[in-house]
Amino acid sequence: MTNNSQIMPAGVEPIGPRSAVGVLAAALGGLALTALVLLIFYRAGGLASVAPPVVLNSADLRLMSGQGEQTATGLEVRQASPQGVISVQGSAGFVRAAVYRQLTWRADGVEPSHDLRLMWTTLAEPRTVREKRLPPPTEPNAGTVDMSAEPEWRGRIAVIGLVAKGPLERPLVIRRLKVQAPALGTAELARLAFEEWTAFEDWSQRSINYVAGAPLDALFPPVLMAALWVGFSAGLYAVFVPFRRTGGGWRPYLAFLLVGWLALDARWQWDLSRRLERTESRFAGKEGDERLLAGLDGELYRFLLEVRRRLPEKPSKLYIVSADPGDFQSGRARYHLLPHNGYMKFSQPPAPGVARPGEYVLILSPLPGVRYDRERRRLDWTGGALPADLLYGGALGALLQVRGG
Amino acid sequence: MAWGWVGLALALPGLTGALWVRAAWGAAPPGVWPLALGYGYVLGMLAVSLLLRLQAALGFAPSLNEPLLVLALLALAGGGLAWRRARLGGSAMGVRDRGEWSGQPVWQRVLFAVLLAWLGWRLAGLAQEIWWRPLFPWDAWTTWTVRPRVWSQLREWAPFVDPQRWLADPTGSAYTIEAWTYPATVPLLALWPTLAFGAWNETAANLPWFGAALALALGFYGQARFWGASPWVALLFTGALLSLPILNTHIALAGYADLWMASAFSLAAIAFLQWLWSRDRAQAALALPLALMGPLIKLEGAVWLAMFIPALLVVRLRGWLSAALAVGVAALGLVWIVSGGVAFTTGFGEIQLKPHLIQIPYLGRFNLGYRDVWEPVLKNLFVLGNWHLFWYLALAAAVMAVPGLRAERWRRIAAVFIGSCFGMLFVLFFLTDAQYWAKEYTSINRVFLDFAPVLLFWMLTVLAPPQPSGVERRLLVAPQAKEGLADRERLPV
Repeated sequence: MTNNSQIMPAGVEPIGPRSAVGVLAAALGGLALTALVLLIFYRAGGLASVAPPVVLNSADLRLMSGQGEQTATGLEVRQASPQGVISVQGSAGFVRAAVYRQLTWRADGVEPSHDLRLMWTTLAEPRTVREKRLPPPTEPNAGTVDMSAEPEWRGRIAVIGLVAKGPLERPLVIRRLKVQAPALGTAELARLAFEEWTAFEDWSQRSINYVAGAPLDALFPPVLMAALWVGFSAGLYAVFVPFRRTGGGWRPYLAFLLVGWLALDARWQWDLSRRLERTESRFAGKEGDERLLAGLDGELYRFLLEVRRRLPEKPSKLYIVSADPGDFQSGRARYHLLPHNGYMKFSQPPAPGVARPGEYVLILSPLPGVRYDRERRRLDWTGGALPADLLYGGALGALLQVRGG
Repeated sequence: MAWGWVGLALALPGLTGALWVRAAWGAAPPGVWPLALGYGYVLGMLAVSLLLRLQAALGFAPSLNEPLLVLALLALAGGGLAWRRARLGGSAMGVRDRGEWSGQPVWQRVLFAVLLAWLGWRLAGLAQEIWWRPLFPWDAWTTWTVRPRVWSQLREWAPFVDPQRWLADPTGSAYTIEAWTYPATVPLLALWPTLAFGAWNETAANLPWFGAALALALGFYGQARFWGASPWVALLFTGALLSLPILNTHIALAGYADLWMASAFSLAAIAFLQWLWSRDRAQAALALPLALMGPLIKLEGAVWLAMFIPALLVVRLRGWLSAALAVGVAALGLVWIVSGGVAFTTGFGEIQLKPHLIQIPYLGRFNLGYRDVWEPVLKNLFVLGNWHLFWYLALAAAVMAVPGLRAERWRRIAAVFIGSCFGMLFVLFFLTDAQYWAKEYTSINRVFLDFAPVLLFWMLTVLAPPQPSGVERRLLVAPQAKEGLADRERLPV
């Protein structure tokens, strides 16, 4: 191996004062260049490629209130609901409200007498519907609204739609809803970068598969930013301090990479420390049931403690039935009830020929179409019935024991 | 007292393994003790899983006693052997690095201490997560920990069968999980400390994962020192490994098999690279059992094991033979494509090797065809927070490696090994339905994690040449390789 490729010989010496000045200057230049390139990119239209507009054409919209149908021109609503309301909505794909702030709508048949509103829900509050009265159309049959100043337009937007109230003299044809990022200024971009770099990501069931390090759709993903900085700094150093003048030393380039890596690791350590704080406040000093009750599925565990009290000491065979077999609840139920011999891939109770007398069935609510007939002591569902005694019933489900005959 | 037994259950396999690994070297090359402790722990724990298997096969109930007794005897034998070999080799059993430290500049010692403190802080935090947090990740409570919990609580080896047999079983004694064919090694590793604890305990079950991470780091550091990196450079690369967020996650959220797969495969592969370089038989002796245990840890371990074959063939075959092999493989591939492949049935099930379909019992069925998954693959490796700048460094190292390929044969063989791994990963994600593992961000980082430590070690060999360099260093590490090395150094490269 030649000297030129010896990046880190074991007897390596620190970078000399003159080189250090060069490295520092290149690092600062790299920082400025990174910021400048990103600014130009996003100001020159790159934003649309990183955060493309979400367009809901009529086919993507569902009519929630009123009567109508899809036509060639759009979603045509001919009649309002008995309450005089027309409502259409579609998925916004959980876009970030901080970025996607400009909404455009296009519909035929909107009258000045109509009270036209934008509705939305967020990922954090999927059941809370927010509304904002839309300003008059800016052009025939179309309008735009800036949501920047709307305090409830925050987090991630799950659903957007239009709500119209008022007499319907002619059909209302909803053609399109579009939500997009407006042109962002330097200060706004800087604020977004700061928010992304300081976004906290707690442990989740996805953590074991990937570490996002920032919002998945970040405009300034830290790893990419660090790599850009390393690249620009190294490039500047190579230009202003040519390889031959440094004797072919790679150490300055290694220094850039190390600093970039360390910056990312410092951020990750900050993230880990905050996660640990949460873990500590939630679980530290707790043992056994108390610790599990403090967990993600504490309520389920509380229910399962009651279930376990009704099960015998000796491990028993247990059919765990839920609307979504193999989901989080059913899987956790099986695990928490071990060493009882449970299995959870059942979307309806086992037939009498499958479950034997004396075995147990755990129903996890809600389970549509399945009910317990107390008089006949029987579990009934469409196309089947299982003689069983109800041992315990709670808000999260019920435990039954299969009877003979 | 129960936690004392857990400590013993985790320490004794590590100590036993470390003594036997230490005994592989008479002399005391720099880094031998970290290497011995790291490799020793992984080998020791894998030996525990084999002893528990033996216990079950002999009809004994799950118990700490017999394996602990065997381990104690092995530790005594290993200790005696290590002491004897060290004496014969003219070295003490102490830490050899102490001598080298006196020659290190102050700034390197300071840097070493700062790095060590940083890594200590990181590991302490991860250990606290294991200590406080109940079993958390999905596959841990659906797959890997179900069996050990049942065995631990029942104190019997309850069988696990497929769901259909579970339904048909009138006795209710057979259990089931979806992944009932997965190897038992990882469940046994989780079971072991709970046998010591005396009851099922999630924290105890997860503690071996922390040991695996520590062992990976120690093994890596020891090998870096063996390679000839100075203490601070070796620790710098070890720190790079321990800083990887996806690795940290698998420590904090213990319970998945990937950390064990990464430790076993990567430590095996690092020892393999060291053997390629030095022809040190002790390194080959380390690589072999770890590589062979791979399929017993995860089914994918069989595929990782197969990655050694191309490199070994290149080691064995020289000149026209290797050219003939390359031509033969190419011709065979052509015939395979033109003929439409083969299908046959074995005792394990049907095997199909066709250009559009690969089916191997226990591994799965893979429809072959190009899938465009560049976007999720690149995003996971180069954009998201999984790897810091690891893959950027890998790109730089790949460029830097080119001059070395021309100069040294062992580097070309190492490149064949690394290339085989990348080739397999390309086939997996770009030609099979495993594309969904990438598209849905599920297994992609976990599969790369198996390979990341050895890739980082390969980067070390590219970026930080050994000191003293070349043959001198190899002879220092493996004097028995003198003849073979001299021969190889003369060969045209």
